[in-house]
Amino acid sequence: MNHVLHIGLNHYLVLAAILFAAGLCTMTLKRNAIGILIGVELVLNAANVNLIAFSHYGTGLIDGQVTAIFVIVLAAAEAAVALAIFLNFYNRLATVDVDRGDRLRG
Amino acid sequence: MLEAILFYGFAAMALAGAFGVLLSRNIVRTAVWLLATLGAAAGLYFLLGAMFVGAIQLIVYAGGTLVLIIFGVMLTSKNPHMRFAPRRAEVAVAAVVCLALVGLLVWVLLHSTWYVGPIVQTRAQWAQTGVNEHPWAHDLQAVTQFLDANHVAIVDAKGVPCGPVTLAGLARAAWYELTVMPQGDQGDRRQPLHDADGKPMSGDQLLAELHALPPQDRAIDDAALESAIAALESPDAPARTVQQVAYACGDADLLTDADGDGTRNIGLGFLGVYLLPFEVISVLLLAVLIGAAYLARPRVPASGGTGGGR
Amino acid sequence: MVPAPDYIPLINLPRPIEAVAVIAVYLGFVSVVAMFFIWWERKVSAHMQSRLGPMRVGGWHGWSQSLADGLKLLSKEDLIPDEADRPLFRIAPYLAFVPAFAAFAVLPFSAKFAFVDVSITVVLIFGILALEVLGVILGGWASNSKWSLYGAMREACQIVSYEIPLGLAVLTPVLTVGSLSLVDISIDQGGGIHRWLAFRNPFLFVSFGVFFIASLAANKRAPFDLPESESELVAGFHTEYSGMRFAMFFFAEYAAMFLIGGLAALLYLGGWYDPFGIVLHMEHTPSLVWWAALAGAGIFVVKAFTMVFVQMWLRWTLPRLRIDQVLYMCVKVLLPLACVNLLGVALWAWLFPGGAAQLAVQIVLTVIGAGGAGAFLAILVWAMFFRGRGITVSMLKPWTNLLHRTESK
Repeated sequence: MNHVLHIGLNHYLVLAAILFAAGLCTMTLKRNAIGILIGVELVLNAANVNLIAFSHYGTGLIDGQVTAIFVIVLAAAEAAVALAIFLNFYNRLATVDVDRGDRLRG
Repeated sequence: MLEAILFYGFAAMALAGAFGVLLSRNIVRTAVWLLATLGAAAGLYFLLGAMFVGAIQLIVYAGGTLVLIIFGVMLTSKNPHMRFAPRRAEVAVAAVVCLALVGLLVWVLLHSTWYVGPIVQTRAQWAQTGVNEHPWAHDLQAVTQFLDANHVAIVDAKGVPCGPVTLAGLARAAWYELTVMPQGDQGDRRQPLHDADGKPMSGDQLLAELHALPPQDRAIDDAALESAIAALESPDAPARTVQQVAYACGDADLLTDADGDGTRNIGLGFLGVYLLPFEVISVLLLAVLIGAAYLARPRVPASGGTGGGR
Repeated sequence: MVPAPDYIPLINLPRPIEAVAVIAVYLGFVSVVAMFFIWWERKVSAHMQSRLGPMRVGGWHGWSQSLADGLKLLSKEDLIPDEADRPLFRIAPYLAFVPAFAAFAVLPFSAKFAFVDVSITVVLIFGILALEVLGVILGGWASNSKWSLYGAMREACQIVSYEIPLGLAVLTPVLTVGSLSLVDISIDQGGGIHRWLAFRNPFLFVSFGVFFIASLAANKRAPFDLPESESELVAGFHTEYSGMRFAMFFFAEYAAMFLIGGLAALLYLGGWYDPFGIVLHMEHTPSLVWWAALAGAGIFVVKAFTMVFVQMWLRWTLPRLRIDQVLYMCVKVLLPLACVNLLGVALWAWLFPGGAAQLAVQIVLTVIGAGGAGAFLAILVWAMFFRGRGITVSMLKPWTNLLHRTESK
C-alpha cells in the first residue's frame, strides 16, 4: 500500500517505459508518415518524463531539466523538418503512406 | 496523498493519450490524443517541481509542434477521414515486441537500485565523491560543520528538515558552479533557514555566527568571509537563502543572482555550464529554419521533363 | 526586488474548500466580464456607427442583452453537420474555452489578490493560452466545411507566426525587471507614472506597441480576424457551430480580450498602481494594506477595460488585412522590431543603469505617451458627451469636406 500511495522515482520510470513502448509501437504500426512522427513525439516525451524524474529524485540539480528543454526544442525543429519532407513526399506521390515511398527499390 | 491523486490522474491521462495515439485510425484524432499525453506530461513536470519545463512544454510542444503537425495533416490529406490500416501480421508482431519491451523495461527498472534521495548521506561518502578537491569545498564543509555543530536544520516549506540533502546538493552545485534547486515537494519555494528554536534565520546572521568562530575552527579565510558578508549586506541582495550563504563562501559575485529559484538556475545554466550545447542547438535551429524553408518552398511544376534545376 | 507575496487566505476555510470557492468566484467574475464585453462591444460598435445598439432588453440601455442572448443560445438546437468528425466537433469548443478561463488563475489582480504562488507566471500564462489555438483549429477541421477549414488554417498560420514577436516583446519587461513573475514585474512599476515600464525607455515604448499588435493577432481580433472573417469565410472556424458550443468560442474570445488587456496593464502600464504613487504609499502603510489591495484591483480592472476598449475601437475602425499582409507584418515588421527592442533594452540597462539621463528619458516618454493618450481620451470624452451623438461621422465632416474639396480639384 505504501508503494501505491507514496509516489517515488519508480512510478515515473514505469509510466515512461509504457509511454516509450506505446510510442515505439505507434512508429512501427502507422503507415501514415505523420502518424510515425507522432510516435516519435511520444518516445521523446517518455524520455523527458524520465529526465525530469531523475532530476527531481536523483541529484536535485537542474541537469535533467536543462536536457529536457533541449529535447523539447529539438523536437520542434525535428517536426518542422519532418513536415517539410512529408510535404515533398506528398507533392511527388500524392499520399503520405510511407509504404509507397519505395521508388529506390531495385 | 494529494500528490498520489495528482500523479495517478496525470498518469492515467498520459497513458490514455498514448493508447489513443496507438489505436486511433484517424490521423487528426491521433494528434488530439497526443495533446492529452503532452498536457499530462506537463502536469507531471509541474508535480515534479519543474515549473519552467512544464510551461515550455505547453508553449512549444502543445502550442507549436502539435499545431505544426495538425497543419501538416491538413495539407497532406485529401479526404478528412483518411485511414491506413496496418496488416494483421504487423499488428501481431508489433504487439508482441512492444509488450515484451514493456515487460523487460519494467522488470529492469524495478530490479535496479536507483539512488533516490540525498546524494551523499554521510560525510565519509561525501569525501568519496571528490567534491573535496574543489577549492570551494572547504568553505561548504565549514558551513556544514557549523550547521551540524549548532543544531541548525534547514527545513522546507512544510517544516520538514532536509539538511544533508540540500547541503550535499550545494556541494555539487559548487562543483558545477551552479545553484541548486531546493528539494522537497514545494520545489519552487524559497527555503528559510531555521535555527534550533525554529525561528527563521537570515543568511547574514548565519555568516556572522560563522565569523565569530575562532579561525582554526573554520576553513574560510577572513577575506572571503568579509566579502561574503559585504555582499549579503548590500542593498541589492534579495531574501537570503542557504544557497547564497554557500555562494558567499565561494564567489560573492554570484550572490545576488542566486535566490533558490529553479528557473533562475536554468537561466544561469544556459549561460554557464551549458553554454556550448545551447549555442550548438541555436546553430542547429538556424540550419533547420533554412532547411525547412528550402524543402517546403513552392516548386515550379517541371515543364520539359528534365528537372535538372533541382 | 520585493519577493512575491505569500498566499493570503481570503476566508478561514480548509484549503480545498477555499480553492473551490476562489475558483467559483473567478469563474463567475470571468463569465460576467465576458458577457459584459459582448454587450459593450455591441454598444461601442453601434455608437461608432451612429446607431444606438441594443436598447430594449432589461431596461437601461439594454444591459441584459447578453443574458437574453445566452438564454437564446442555450435553448437552441445543437446542430452537428452530417459529415463532421463528431467527437472532435464536440470537444473543440471546450479546448478553446478552458484555456482562456484557466489562464485567469495565474493573473494577479493586485499584490494580495494573486492566487497562484509561482515565480514564472509570465511563461505559464502564455503556455495556457497557447492551448487555445488547438480548439479553434480542431473546430474548423472537424466541421468538414471549406470555410471552416480555411479559417482553421489561417488561425494556425497566424498564431504560430505571431507567437514569436509576442514572446520576444514580453521578454523586454522581463529583462528590465529581472523576474518572470507578473507580481514582481508589477511591483517594480509602483510609485508614479514615470515608473511604468512602457515609459522607461524608448525600446520598451516600442515594445509595448509590438506586444499590443501581436496580442491582437494572437487573439484573432480585428484587424487580424482572418480566421473568422465574416465577409469572406462566413464566420470561419465556427461557421458550423450553433447554440452553446458557438457561445463557448465567443466567450473564449472575450475572456482572452480581458486577459490580453490585463497583461498589457501588468507588463507595461504599471500593473495595479495609479499614476501618482498613491497605491504604493498605501501598500507601505500597514493599516491600509487591504485598502491598497482593493484599490489596486480596481485600478487594474480599469486599465484592463481601457485596453479592451481600445481593442474594440480598433475592430470598428480598421479594415481587415489580407493573409499575406498579416504574415508580412509579422515576419518583416514585428519580428525584426522585437529583436531590436530586446537588444536595445539589454543595451539600455547596461548603458544607463539609473541616474539623471534615465530619469530625463522617462519623463520625456511619459509626457509624450501619457500626454498623447490623455489628449486623445479628452477628445473622446468631449465627442461622446458634449457633441450629443457619440463619435459620429458628422464629427469628421470638416475633414472629409476638406478631402473632397482637394479631390475634386
